Amino acid sequence: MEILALLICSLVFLTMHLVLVQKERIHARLAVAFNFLYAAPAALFSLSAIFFAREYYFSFPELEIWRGFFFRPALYLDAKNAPLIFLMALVLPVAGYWLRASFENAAKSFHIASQVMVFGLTGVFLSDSLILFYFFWETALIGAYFWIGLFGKSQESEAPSRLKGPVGVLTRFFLFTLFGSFAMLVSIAALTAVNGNDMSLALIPVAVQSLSPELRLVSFAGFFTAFAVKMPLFGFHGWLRDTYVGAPPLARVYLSAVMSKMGAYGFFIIVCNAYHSLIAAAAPALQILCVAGVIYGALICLSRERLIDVFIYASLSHLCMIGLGLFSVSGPENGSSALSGTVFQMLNHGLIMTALLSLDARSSGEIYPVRSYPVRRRTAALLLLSILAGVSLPGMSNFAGEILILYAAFLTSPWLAFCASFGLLIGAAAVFRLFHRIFLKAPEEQIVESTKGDDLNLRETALGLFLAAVWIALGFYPMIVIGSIERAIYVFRMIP
Amino acid sequence: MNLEIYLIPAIPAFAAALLSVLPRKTRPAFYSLISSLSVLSSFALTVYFGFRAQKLVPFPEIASTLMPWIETADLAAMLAFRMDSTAFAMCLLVSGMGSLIIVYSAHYLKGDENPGRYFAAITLFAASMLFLVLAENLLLLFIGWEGVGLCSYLLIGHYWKKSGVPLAAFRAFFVNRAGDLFFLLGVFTLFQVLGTVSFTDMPLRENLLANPAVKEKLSFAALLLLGGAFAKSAQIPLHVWLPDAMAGPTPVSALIHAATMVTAGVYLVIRLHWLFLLSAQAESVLLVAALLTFLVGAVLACFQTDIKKILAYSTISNLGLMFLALAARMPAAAFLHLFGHAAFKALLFLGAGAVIIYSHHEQDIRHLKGILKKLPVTRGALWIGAIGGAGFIPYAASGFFSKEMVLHAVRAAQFSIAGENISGETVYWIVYAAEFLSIFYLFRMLGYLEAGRPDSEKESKEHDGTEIKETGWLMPGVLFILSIFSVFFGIISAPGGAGGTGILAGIESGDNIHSQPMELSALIVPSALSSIFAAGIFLLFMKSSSRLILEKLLDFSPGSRGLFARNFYFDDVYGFLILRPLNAAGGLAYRAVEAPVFLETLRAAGYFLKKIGRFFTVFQRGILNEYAFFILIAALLFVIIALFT
Repeated sequence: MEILALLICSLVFLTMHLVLVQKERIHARLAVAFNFLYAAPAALFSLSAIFFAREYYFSFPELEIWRGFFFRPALYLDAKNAPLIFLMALVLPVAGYWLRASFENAAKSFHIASQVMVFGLTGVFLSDSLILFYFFWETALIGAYFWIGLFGKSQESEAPSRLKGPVGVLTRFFLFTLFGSFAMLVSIAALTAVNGNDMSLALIPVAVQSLSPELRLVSFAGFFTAFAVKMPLFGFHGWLRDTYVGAPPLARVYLSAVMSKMGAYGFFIIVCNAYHSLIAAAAPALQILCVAGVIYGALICLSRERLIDVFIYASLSHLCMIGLGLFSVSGPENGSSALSGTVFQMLNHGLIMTALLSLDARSSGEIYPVRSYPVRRRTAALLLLSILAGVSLPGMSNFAGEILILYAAFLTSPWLAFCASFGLLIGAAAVFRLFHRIFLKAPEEQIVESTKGDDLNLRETALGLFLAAVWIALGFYPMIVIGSIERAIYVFRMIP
Repeated sequence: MNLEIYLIPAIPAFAAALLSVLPRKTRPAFYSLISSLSVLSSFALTVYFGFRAQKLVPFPEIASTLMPWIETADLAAMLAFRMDSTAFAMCLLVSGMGSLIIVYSAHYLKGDENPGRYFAAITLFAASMLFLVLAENLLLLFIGWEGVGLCSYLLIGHYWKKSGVPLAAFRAFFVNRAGDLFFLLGVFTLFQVLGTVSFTDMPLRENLLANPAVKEKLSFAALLLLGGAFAKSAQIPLHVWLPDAMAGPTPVSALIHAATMVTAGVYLVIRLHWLFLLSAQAESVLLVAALLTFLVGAVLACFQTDIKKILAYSTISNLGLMFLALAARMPAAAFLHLFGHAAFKALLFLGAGAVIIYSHHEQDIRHLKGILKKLPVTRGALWIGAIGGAGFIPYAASGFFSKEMVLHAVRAAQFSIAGENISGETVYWIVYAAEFLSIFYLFRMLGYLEAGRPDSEKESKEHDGTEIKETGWLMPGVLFILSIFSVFFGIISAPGGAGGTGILAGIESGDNIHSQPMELSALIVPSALSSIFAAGIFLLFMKSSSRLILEKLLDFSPGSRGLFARNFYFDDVYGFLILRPLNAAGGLAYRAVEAPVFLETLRAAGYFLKKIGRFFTVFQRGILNEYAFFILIAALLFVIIALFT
């Protein structure tokens, strides 16, 4: 029942936006307050699922929607998806508070779009039904679509572009993801057809078993395309850069920190679980694809001159690391620690991208009009801290997840681990180099006059330090999350 | 449970966290007070453990396991600490030396615009090193290992507004990270083979060694771990960051060189000495790198004019000597020299720091002529340090017996490189001859600093009328304590036969086998020879006429303009082989792949879709007649289809 409440939380605020708040424009503070109201139950339930191994389950009444075809909506929350809910519980208030100036007095539709997206994301992570999963998946996309489309800014791309403006960005993002969604829809249709009914996530492997080999391959390809585009993996990332740069700052954070996890979570909960024989067969190719993505992202980082571009491609690198973890599975029995590390890594990646992208938006003059980077001690210090967390300094949470992934890759082939860590090293060097170029300039090269909101205020700094404390705590005691994820995965795989 | 052991790194770590969030208005003295007190309490705790152990040889091991750190089906490592004799001695060194250096910094950093950052970083530096030393397994050690890398980055970059400083910090961090890449792969290999990376459990799995495949993998792991150790301990070819690291404040250099960072690699190899014994390849790599590092460091030190650079290359050379002892399978000698080196190098660096501070940030020895005459305490410290570093007077020089131990070990050893046997005797004579270089560069430096009379009027005019003299009591006080410690160490490091107890050498090996009695009488002739040489060099550089001739000679010696000035072209080679290709690849990846394939194709796809959409607007122009026409055509089509199917 609690879990339903959690889902409804995001909806309630949506209706509040629609009905109760009568104004055309909504004060940023109110929106941030809504975020905190969402975060409280989300944090409560997800933490109790992680720490106390609580399992929440809620099923709606079944619904016959087609001659004997039952839609069986159900929601679940346990250690498998709790890290992602916890991630949202942190990302929403933190990013909202840091970036509140970017939506000061934004139109109502701004918040409605964002709430629709949050509702969809929450639903995707919580749903224990294939059709419900798809429903929420599309809901989140629709939210993102309107958000970026209505409030995105036009593209200042270096390459001459024929299609300018937010609509151009939007078209690309939407085409890409829609393409993926349709592929997934085909797969879901195949699975429900063979099963006869909607099914819970744990039962997908059974349905997959009863598919014909060709259909199995087709449905695998469908899911793979959808998730790979959403994450994105290397080769499917064409929409990434333009969308992120064009999106409003807050939407960018949501996209990178949470929405990319939709794809990763889909891989983890559906593809790796139900298609592990196919994954095992394709593992070498997939692993090489991911490692290539890690190195590719890092190389692009080397050639970019703006922090946001570098963060976007470094994020691509790290998402490919998550992919490497997902595909370093040779069978259901010995792949679990890589998988639990991967889920842990999803949490870390989300938190770190939140910090990086928000602080970048704060400091690059995107929100506050500044011509250059003045000396901003707190922003720079927190950004450095986040970068350090991102380059997986041991003792911070990213490291624990990363070595589990690297070790799993190492067991497949030491060269994979070597190439992946080499790629990460280049990426780290690129990020540091750019950080130096931007922040470590002699004062005379900087415009020192500071305006309001230039640097983070005390409360904002405290929020950043809180994130850092989470990284360090999880860095020294990652087992508190990884252990429960591993148990949950073990149980999950026993069900069929 | 021995939970107190966790406090040793935890107290400085928490102090560092506190220091970094203190408001900016805090008085500088408060920072240094918290910082030094926290490290001092780690020292006190270590001493407490020493007293509790009651005897140092063999040191009763103290172990404690707190909780699992990473424990999955594949990979497992505990959050556990272990203090044995090696770790105990290192803890004493790190916390003792660390707190002295922090006290010294309190004066050195006077007037600094951001003391908070400095003291937070230096406290964290000590904490990381203590963590590294106490960690019970390799993966946990990695936290401290990267931690010292991070802190060195922050500290070297302390004066980030000066040009070149951020780059130096960046290089220190990333050369180390490159080494760590290999380190991590080595850890993975060890874990794959042995199923554990705990220092206690790993040697117990020797039953696996019967399998030659296992032995080969272990040997490979040893090589990979050497990559990490070489980067940390600045061995060729990964030494390039260390001379650059002089961009940081001088106390930081003292800490990096004497106690914390560079000793980590030596410590690692000592810890895993059983592993390196298994690997002939690792031993030959160790020998080649160590010998090269020793020689290159010593040669380059002779050509430097920056006082800190002289000391930096001297450190590189001495680290080579430690690794040479490890290659000669004598970790006790390496460990002893680590301490001997720490004693004199801290003294030399802090003395140099005093010279730099009192002379208002002048680092070129050619402009510091005769400055020591005005700085009595610094003068004594530098003399004791230089004698210790050159190591030619028994008992008085902190490096004397440790160097002798290393030479002894090298002479007795049998080396082999790629199957070719090399007798220890050959290596011994090379090292012995090169030792004169270290006498040369140290006494050249002293000769400059003592030469002539400083032009005090001119000097004082240059620096707003402030005269050069020792002010405050913190810096001279620390120098005084360290001088006493240095001499004291020279005395207690004496091995069994030379009147000493051999206790320090015994600490590492846990027994007295390695501290063989040394014939003191045999050392008199070389010692006297070295003393004469040192005196000669000193006097020659004191006199301006002979100094000019010698400098000309140095200047015109082959390679002084090219090879030595460019530090054997290491930077250029790295730039040419790694950095430029990588940058080019980055640019190429963007221009040839990302932009045309991923960004532009999509943009074009969007464009074409829009075009297609435009085309269909032809049918929707809002003209009623057209609509009627289309409806008619559609109806006809349906009729036709219905008729023909």
